[in-house]
Amino acid sequence: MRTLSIFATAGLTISLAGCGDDNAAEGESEAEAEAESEAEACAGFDEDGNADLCEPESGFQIETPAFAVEVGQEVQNCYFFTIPGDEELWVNRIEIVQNDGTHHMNVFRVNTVVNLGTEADIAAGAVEGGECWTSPNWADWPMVINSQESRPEDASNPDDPESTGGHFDWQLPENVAQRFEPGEVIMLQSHYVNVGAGDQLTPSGVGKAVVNFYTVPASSDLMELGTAFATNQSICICPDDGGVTFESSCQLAQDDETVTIIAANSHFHSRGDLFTISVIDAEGDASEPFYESDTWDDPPMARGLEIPIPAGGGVHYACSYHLEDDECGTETRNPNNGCVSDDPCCMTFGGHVENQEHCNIFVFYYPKTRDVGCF
Amino acid sequence: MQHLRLLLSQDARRRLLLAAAALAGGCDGGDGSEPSPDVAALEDAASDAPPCEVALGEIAAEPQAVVELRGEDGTPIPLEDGDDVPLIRPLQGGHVVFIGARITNICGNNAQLRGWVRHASDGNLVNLEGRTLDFDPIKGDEAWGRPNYAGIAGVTNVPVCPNNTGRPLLGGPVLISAEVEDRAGRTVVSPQVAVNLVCTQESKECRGLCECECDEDYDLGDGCDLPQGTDCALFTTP
Repeated sequence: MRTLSIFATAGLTISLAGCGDDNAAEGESEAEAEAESEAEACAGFDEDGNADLCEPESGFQIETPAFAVEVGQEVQNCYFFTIPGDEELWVNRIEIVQNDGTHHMNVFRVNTVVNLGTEADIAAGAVEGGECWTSPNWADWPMVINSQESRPEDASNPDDPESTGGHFDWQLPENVAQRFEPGEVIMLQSHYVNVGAGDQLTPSGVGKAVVNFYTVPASSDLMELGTAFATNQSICICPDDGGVTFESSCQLAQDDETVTIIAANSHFHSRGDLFTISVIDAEGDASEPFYESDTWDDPPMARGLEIPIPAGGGVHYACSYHLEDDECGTETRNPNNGCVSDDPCCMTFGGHVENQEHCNIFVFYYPKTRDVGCF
Repeated sequence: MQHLRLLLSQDARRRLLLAAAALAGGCDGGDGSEPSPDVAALEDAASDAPPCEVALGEIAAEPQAVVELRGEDGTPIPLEDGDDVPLIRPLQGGHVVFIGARITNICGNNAQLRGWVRHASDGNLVNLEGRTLDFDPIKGDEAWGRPNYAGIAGVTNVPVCPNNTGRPLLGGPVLISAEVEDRAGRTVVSPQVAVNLVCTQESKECRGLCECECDEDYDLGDGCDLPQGTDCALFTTP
């Protein structure tokens, strides 16, 4: 194996491993079995007890440094990496490990830089806290992958064989892959929670994320993976409103196109009661939801889907919430979000789990026609 | 097709069934007769839905809705065919239309307001957004109600751009309408109004951003050459 390691900054590494195996020629089930076997041998913990992955034989790895998440803290950092090599890379398997306590990690392709410093700052490697909390800063950054799997210990829990814990391993369909350009800059945003917000704590007091991107040889048979990130940010949830639902749609296929959704994920916080995602057609008729989640801290990522989207169609998503009487979002309520209630406890959009809410979806489909953002 | 077949929850389905039964004549209609067993069962099933605390007009009459916009100062703006509708950049980026409605003959509390934007050529969807709001009686015209437009959370924020449709959106007509569903599942849709979406930002840079994101060929990540540090949002995130 040829391994080229590029150190973007002191704590951030991105590694490119040699190409040349023939995964693409293997059957899907065989590839999946091999991936499972490899994952078992590869995912684990380093000598400091942090989540770790061996480097892929074919592909590249990105890794955050281990960072402190003290009791009573929520930490959100943005780490930047440059895609190595001198040829485009096609990724059809993504594996992620994270220390327990992660709220989520998202990877985006860097585009217009707003409030995150200069391009030089980004090249330096990280933005810790601060503007890393402000998602409008990357409003035009296409999404790459996200994971909210937060409990590594569950991966080996015999009582819950379906759980993947903090270990996320996604083998895309055999003929679908995500394309990266050499020199392209991507951002990994990692959010850790160590406050009394339900079940989500960081027992080790340390956050860390490692992602392996496994490549396959470029081929004319490959279809490019497309992604859509949609977020409804003008939300307001108040103690006396009796439950509220926010809904929106996001068009994935234009008039002369059809696409197929293969995975979807949702994200809200503990006031969330139900999250649904449905297909919506060109006329605006929504079908029964193909995705439902009532879990905020470890929501399912639906994979293995084959959901056809008709020409002119997309997805409809809805987030339903209610606020308990003893909950109050006053500390971080965004006064500009337009929440008109006089009640100071109303919660508004924001990344802080304790007293803000989210309504986000992540959708993966093929063939990619364009990157999609709906906000 | 105007209605969204939304299947949000079992509770919502029960409410819709109850409404359907009521419309079919199964309810007591205010004449004191007992509801049919089916309706009684449905009423039991829907009993956890909040009661109608804000009855606007005559609940037994045909509900009506009129689509309108929220002005920058929070005042309602009536819409007529041919009007120009400025696109606004909200906190999260992109450009939206703030669609509201006034309604009558329907229950106003905890109602679901949906704003729709459609292509005028074939009625296909550009986008929709919906939210649960209280419609309060309008002073001087208490049979009608509208949400509190003081903040942008009091209206639907319908995302229009980035343009994911592959069709032109600026200048030519689009159809705007509003739909309201009350807690009993009664739904009313406003007449559609054909308007022109326009980018009217004073700043040349922000107007350019609006035109760029609304272009039919825009792809996310294209970049719109907004100078570093330029903030075009309606409000600034603190």
